[in-house]
Amino acid sequence: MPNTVKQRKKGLTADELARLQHFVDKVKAGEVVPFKAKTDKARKNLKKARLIK
Amino acid sequence: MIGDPYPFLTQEYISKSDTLFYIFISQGEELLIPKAVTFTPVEKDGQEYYNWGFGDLILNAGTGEYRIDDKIESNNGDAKTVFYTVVSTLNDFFNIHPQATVYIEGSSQQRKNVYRGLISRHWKQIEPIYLVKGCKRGVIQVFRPGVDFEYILISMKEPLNLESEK
Repeated sequence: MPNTVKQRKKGLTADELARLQHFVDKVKAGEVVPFKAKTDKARKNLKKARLIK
Repeated sequence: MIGDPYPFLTQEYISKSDTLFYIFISQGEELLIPKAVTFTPVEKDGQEYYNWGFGDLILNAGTGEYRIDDKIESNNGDAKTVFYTVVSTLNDFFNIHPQATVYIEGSSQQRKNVYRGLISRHWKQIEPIYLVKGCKRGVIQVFRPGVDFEYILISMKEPLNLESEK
């Protein structure tokens, strides 16, 4: 899979794309964990339903 | 595929965190809104579960950094195309984790209604490929269109035949 922003999209500025790439880099580095609260809630619900320990 | 998706600006498999991560641009009538889709591991011991997250990428004017907001209702007039795009990531996911189960829960009642409605509307296309279950009042049961589930679980019906479904 490609690992960088592929192309400039009409309407998004170069600065916005650079900031998006910065966000992607932080996710890749583990500095940002997307949907952490939702994932924790999922774990809690799956435990409650006894689907996981 | 049940409709034409948006192209992905970014699609990553982050092996370190075992996370699938996508960005695409919602191109509605008025706005261009970056959106993120992720599959993050919930449980990997025994039966594998992954949370399927989806939300808008919002630029914080103060910090100059993007963050994900899964509660915002952007109403960009392209809900179907956004749905098709989000759904299109499932094939990638099941190519990597054919035996896993995906957990999805709307961040608001409105979103739950939208997800349920879209799944119900496309049930004929979804049902032959995916085993879809829902949780209602703590009981896991097979998905039925029209039933208001608290969260939904999706797995492949025939993991070994994934390639033939593409």
